[in-house]
Amino acid sequence: MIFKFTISGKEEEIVEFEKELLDILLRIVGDEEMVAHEIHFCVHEAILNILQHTYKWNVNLPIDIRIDVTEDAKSNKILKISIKDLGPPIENPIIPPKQIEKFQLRKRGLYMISKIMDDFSIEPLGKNGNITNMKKVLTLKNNDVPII
Amino acid sequence: MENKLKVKVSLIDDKICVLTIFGELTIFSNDFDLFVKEVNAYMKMGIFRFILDLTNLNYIDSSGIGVIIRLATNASKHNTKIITICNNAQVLRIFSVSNIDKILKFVKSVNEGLEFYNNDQGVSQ
Repeated sequence: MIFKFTISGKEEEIVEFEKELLDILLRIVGDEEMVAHEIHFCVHEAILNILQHTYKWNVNLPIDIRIDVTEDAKSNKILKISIKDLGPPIENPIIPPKQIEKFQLRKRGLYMISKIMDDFSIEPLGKNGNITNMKKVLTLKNNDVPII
Repeated sequence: MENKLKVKVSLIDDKICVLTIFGELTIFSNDFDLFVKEVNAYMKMGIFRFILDLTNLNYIDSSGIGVIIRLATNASKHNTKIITICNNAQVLRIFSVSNIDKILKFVKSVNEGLEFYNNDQGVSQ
């Protein structure tokens, strides 16, 4: 399954997209409602990161989101989310902090995404734009139905 | 469509601020900026004891967490903690992932929070 969205940074578009995203995630994760909310949170934070740091709150620029759901050999669901922006490419790939100070404000969003997702990276895309990649492996429970 | 944020504020003896927060505490919430300004204004007034009643909070993002960290940092400078009442599993999970659960004092009711501050040995105003 592949889901594709293009949104701007306008508040109403983001809110509408995030509602649809949560519906999709809840369908994908089955009984693991908390996991759906956690992944939803990560996508929200990734979009917020682009708006704040890459687009500098220019809300008219596009953000492309793609969600791929596949299965591995053990029938675990693999959720890959990629979010592309058209902002100035970052100089170096962003590595989330492994630890965070008690009262530290900066990079806490990145830290949280890295704790929730199995893989997380932000890399430049050539001369124009960046890509945020996130991956989560959803372990199949006995009562889950394989997607294929 | 908008993310609704509603905040009720009670000031007790000009020393303790009880913030009862309803809805979603995110940067996309309507009135989020106003909420931040109001919280900053209370801190500038010298208030550092805050009780956050998050019983009716449905969602929080890193921006909302940032506000709580600023309150907790300010409280820490006065050797005390921010009191939090929260029973929403999703919000608690976000607190846990962000590690801010370690810098907050969780209680079950506003009265329990008031009792904590009454017995608190933190720096007085």
